[in-house]
Amino acid sequence: MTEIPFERRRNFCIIAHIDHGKSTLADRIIEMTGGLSSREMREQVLDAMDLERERGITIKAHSVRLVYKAKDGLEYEFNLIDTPGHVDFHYEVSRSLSACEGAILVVDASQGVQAQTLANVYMALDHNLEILPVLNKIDLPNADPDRIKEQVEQIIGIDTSQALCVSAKTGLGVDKILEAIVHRLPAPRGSEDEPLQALIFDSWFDTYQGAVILVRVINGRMNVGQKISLMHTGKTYEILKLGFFTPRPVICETLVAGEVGFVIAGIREVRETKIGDTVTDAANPCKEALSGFREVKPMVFAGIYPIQPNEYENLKLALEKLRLNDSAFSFEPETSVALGFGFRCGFLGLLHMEIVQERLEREYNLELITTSPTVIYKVHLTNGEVLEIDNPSKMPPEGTIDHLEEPFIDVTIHVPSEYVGNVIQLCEERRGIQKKINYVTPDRVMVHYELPFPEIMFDFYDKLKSLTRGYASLDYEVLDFRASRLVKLNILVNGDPVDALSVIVHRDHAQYRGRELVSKLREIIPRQQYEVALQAAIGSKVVARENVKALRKDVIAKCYGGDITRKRKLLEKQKEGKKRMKQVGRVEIPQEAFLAVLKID
Amino acid sequence: MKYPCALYIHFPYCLYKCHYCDFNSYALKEREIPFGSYQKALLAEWRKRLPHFDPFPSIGSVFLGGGTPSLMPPNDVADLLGEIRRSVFFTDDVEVTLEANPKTISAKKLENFRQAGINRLSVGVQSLNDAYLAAFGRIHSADDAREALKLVRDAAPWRGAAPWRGAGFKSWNADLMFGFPGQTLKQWESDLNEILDFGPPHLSCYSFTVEEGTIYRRQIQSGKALPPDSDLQAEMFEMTGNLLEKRGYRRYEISNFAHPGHECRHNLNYWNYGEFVGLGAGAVSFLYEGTEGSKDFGYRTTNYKEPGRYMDALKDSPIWFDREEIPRETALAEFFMMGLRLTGGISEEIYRRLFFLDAKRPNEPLFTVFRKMGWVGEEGIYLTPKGRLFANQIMSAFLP
Repeated sequence: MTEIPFERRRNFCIIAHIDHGKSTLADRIIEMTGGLSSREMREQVLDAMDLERERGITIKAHSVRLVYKAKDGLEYEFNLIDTPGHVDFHYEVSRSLSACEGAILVVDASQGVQAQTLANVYMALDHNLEILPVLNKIDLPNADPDRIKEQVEQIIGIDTSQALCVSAKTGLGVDKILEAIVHRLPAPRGSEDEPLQALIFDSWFDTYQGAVILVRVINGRMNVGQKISLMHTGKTYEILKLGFFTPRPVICETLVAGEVGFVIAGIREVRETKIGDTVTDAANPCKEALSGFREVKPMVFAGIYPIQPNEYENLKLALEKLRLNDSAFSFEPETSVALGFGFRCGFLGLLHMEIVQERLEREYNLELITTSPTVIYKVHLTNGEVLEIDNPSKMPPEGTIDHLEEPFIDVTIHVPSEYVGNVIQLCEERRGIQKKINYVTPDRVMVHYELPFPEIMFDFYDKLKSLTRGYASLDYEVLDFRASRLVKLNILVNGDPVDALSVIVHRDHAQYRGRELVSKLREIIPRQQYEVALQAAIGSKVVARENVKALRKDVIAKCYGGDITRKRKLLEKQKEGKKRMKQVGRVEIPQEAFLAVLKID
Repeated sequence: MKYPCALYIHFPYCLYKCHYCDFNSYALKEREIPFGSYQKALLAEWRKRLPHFDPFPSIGSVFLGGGTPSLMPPNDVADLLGEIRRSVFFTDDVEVTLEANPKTISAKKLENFRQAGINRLSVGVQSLNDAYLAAFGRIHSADDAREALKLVRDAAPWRGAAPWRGAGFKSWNADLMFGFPGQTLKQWESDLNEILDFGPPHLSCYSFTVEEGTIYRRQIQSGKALPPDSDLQAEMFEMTGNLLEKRGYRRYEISNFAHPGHECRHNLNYWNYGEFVGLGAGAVSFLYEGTEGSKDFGYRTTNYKEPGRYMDALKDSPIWFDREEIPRETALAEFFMMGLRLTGGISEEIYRRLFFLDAKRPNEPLFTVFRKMGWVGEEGIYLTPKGRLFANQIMSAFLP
């Protein structure tokens, strides 16, 4: 590859709402710049994992270097930086954005701007990125580019007179995007002569190479053999390999200011490579670390337990492997009276939790019980001590507690005006504090609330979706801890509290949630040999009670010669179902019971 | 194969599909039923099967089930049984049962069936309450059933415990169901008492079950019908046993009762995991693997279900069935699933003969658990009355 000068480099990302066509557009750009021949193109090449493909969400950021021969006859180097597209990955998105000079804003030409897009565009503007608006899915019959252009101008306040209309699916208009990248996005600034200063915006674990980090070099240069240090961890390494993706990995000798590429430096664990950290030369460090670094801390916690106790070691190995690749994920051993030995796991948010859970079950073939997710609560004791608890069962005795604090989040919901009432009602029910309601256009509203974080654990997303026929989109950021009247709701099965079922709830909702929870559990827990009493209690006060009647018979009435295979299969199914249940005392409780609290509103 | 084999013959046609029925049956108007060509197909299948056996085992029982096999002209049955009887050996005490719908029989027809070789009748009474009969789409009324019961009683001269003397039918059965949604314990008890007045030597009492793919299942799903009350059914199940045992019957299987000596030989063969050959649309055959050292215990074939396809395949194709291999461990589980249905439980002799077991038995620890729970008897391998109600849980524990 011939050397392309500094001023012909373009570093950019694509900002879009889920399903508005980000991955398709990325595929098209890679294809049209010859990064991969069409034969090699799998759809959505940037979404590596099956899981991502299935959910249509990009989880790990990747970046590709492409060479584009522009109409002016010159070759340009494009670095397309992929960004995660979900609210749980707010911080990661911000780091990816700061590796770019420009962003392609993809908006569905019929659906218009959504909250998540907005949050990311605002973030991009904060990072002084040049925005290139693109209206996608222009080939669909209900596309209305003029209306959407106007909307983008009103809501975001950027000029859309030069917005491009494309269909990423058919490739229509994508060539214009390529030209616009050349002419409208700026070249990187920075100097090769300064001391090395590079931003880590993604990292992952490779079995053979150890941690692989993706960097954007801001100043200076990186060479193979160079000693580098990571400024926030203070650790020093030697660069073993440098390279970039096309999307196939290509090895090179140097990365210079303005370039994007990967670094392999014998780093054992991804946890040492914190996203947002600054890479510098160990001998000749830059003056200061790049701004915006934040320690990523898990916000949502849940217990993960093997259904079969002998799977504990396998689960541990699987969690270790996952953590290698996911620095936002944490776990530590925990013991539950009801569930035995397992792990308390920390996640960025609910989606992150679901992804981990699914990967454990799918890739590692484990049968698991996940307990209800919870946030971190601050417990102020009467003796002045403050505890942070990530598990309701760790709550100290009521008498020793002075007060409790729960985390609050800043929530932006973007919704067509006809559903505003529903959204407000939902937020009010969830103890929200209204901050702003902004009619960005006559029919598009931005609802801004401060909500207790735990409230969005209880069926909030599904509820929001159904109340707005799927038209609402949501973005949130964690704010602070605030004192609330919280109580621990215990669930008793046959008189014994089951620690893994307890939840922390607001006192005003405790009775209602208790009732809903036991009634849900009664539906989920199958009838057993004995009657099963289900109770919800606050302290010693029972607030709700339901009974699962004893099973009186479980026998097939007829079984003759022609029925043998069929009846055997029926019994096999029954046995399989039993295997997936956890014995708590003498009661068998199915997996989904431990997440029942999520299903109540 | 020195043990007698059972022969099942399936007649897949009926006049109306009962709402709870999940058997392989097709409702047609009587004049549209292809009696002749179906009977020919049965014989064609028989002829195709014969050469595969060398020699064909002796037949200990024949069962004509359906559908509604009592719709068949007795002459057809005579020809069918006649040809079979000429080609294989029937044991002296062979039991030949015909399932009869109350609406389809007369004294004359019964006598013709008897002359055709039928020596046992199974009458599908189901209920003596018109409301339930109508609700489930039975083609007969309670009075039709009473009429039929009288005919059968008169055609089978068995009285009380006196042995069969060779005149009339050897034995007979009434099929009954209990635990219909809405049915009370009292109603069921009165059905049962009335049936007993006819003195049946054998009774099948089935807990009403909603099977997959039945009309009734669809009615429940669309909210047009109620599911049965399983608790009340459990009560009825126990009451039935108590009442019948007082009247001299023995519950010899989960749903079957008989006066001593009148147990259904054909069905006992199923529960003892014996071999059987099934003729007709959708009929199942089960045969042990002959070859020494084979990893499979046996195989099961299921004939094509749809009568048209079954008949066509017999004409020009060598294959008219699906085949399932039964590995040894599956066979052992099935052996328990079937054998534990019997009140007497697993026969040690058969257990040893089929699975070559010496003193060490693989499932002993499981039995110990169930014995502790009081579900399996202390000596031998059989379910206690309590265990019988939870038979599925015990049986599924033996699955591989």
